[in-house]
Order: sequence, then C-alpha cells, then structure tokens
Amino acid sequence: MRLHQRDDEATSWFLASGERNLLLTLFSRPTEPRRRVRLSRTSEALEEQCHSDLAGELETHRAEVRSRLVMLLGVASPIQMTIQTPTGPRDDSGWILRLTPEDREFLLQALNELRLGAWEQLGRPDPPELPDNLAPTSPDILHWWNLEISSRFQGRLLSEEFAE
Amino acid sequence: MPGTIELPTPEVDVEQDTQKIREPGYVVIVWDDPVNLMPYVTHVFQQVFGWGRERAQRHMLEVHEQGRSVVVRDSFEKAEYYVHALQKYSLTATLEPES
Repeated sequence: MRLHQRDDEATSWFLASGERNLLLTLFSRPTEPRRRVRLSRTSEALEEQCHSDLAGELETHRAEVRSRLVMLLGVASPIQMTIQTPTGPRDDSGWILRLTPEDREFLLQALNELRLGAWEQLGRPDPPELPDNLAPTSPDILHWWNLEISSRFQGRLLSEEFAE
Repeated sequence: MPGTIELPTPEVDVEQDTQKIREPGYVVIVWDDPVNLMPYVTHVFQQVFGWGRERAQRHMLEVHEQGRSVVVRDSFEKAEYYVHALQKYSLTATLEPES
C-alpha cells in the first residue's frame, strides 16, 4: 500500500493485488467479540446512562464502516504501471483505492478495531509484542497476524498521508 | 493606592474557564493502554477535536507518560458526544463528573 495521488477531494492509494484481497477478507469476515468498555470509571450512574446511549450505536457504526470499506475495495480500479526499483524498472499491477477524508478515517477505525479485537483475544498482552517462543501450531498465531498486519496498514496510512 | 496589593494574574485557559462558568462540568478522560499506537492517538485527537499537531501530541504524551489526560471539560451532552467519538476510534475514553 502506498500513496499514489492526492487531489482536493481524496487520496488514491496503490494496493498490490494481495493487499486488496487481504483487506477484503479482513473486512468481510465477522469481527471478534469485543469486551464491554467502561464509559465512566467513577460513577455507576453515568456508566449506565452512557452505556444505554451508546449501546448498539458502536456496533452499528462498525458494521457500516466495514461494509463501506468492502464496497470501496470492490470498486477499486485496476492499474498496471512501471515502477523504478534499485534493481531497475519493474511492472507492477494492482488496484487504486480512492479514499475521501471520511473514508480514510473509516479505514483507520476499522484497522484499529481489528488490532484491538486481536489484542483482546490474546489476553491483552502488555507490551503487545510477538513472543519469541510462539509455537507454529499455536492457536494465537492468527490473532498475532491480525494485530501485526492491521498495524502495518494503519502505520502506512498515517505515515504517508500525514508526513510533514 | 495605599492598603491595596496587586495580585498576580493567574494563568488560565480562557476557553476552558468560560465553559466551566457556563455549565457545570463533566470531563472526558483518555486513558493509557498498551495497544493504541502513539501516532494513531495523535491523529485521533486532531480529527475529533480539530487540534493542531502540537497540542494533540502534548495530550498524547500526557496519556502515555501520566496514564491519562483530560481532553474535554464541558456539559454532559458535549462530553458524551466526545466520548462516543473517541470510542469509535477505539480509544479508552471515559466520562466523569468534574470534581
């Protein structure tokens, strides 16, 4: 994923075919259940009031965000271009994903949701770093992979779009 | 004038001070967690509050180093709105009565 172009209304991102398929897969499948978050730490009355106000709203928002992203990935335009690499020019084919500022925020939110879902499934490790002794057969591998891959996409979005 | 003393002018955040007088307060606190990335938190503060990068980074560092940062002092409705906005980004944000 790399920044391809920007205009007044949106930014366009080049996605390799594998990246587009990966994002489509990640956003199409059901999310991991999230632990209930507290909305007030000092007041049970506030906690109840806020929770009832927020109940359902977050879930609805997250579902809408993911379906919007699946739609955007679905209408991404195919592209073929030649890029310069240290070893010479290389043909590169992939997809152009166009993101308005609102869509960019949705993508960041959805990626972070994946990160947090995976982190919770892993038992909230602190720090959230891949253990050296993780067995190849560990059931945690998929969660670590989700955490890592969504961090990379998120980092790329933030560092390229907002680079000073 | 004899018998009077000049008090030092306190340094106050005018915007926050005015809001405090207008309406009894609630605060929105963002809490540290080990999972949200620092550039992400800075970005969220910029988006949700419209802050410049410097102010957003200052609050992000406060969260990181002190475990929490008060990011809003306002009425219940506005504070609740901001908590919801921060929760959409999966930040650990809570609403508390101002003490």
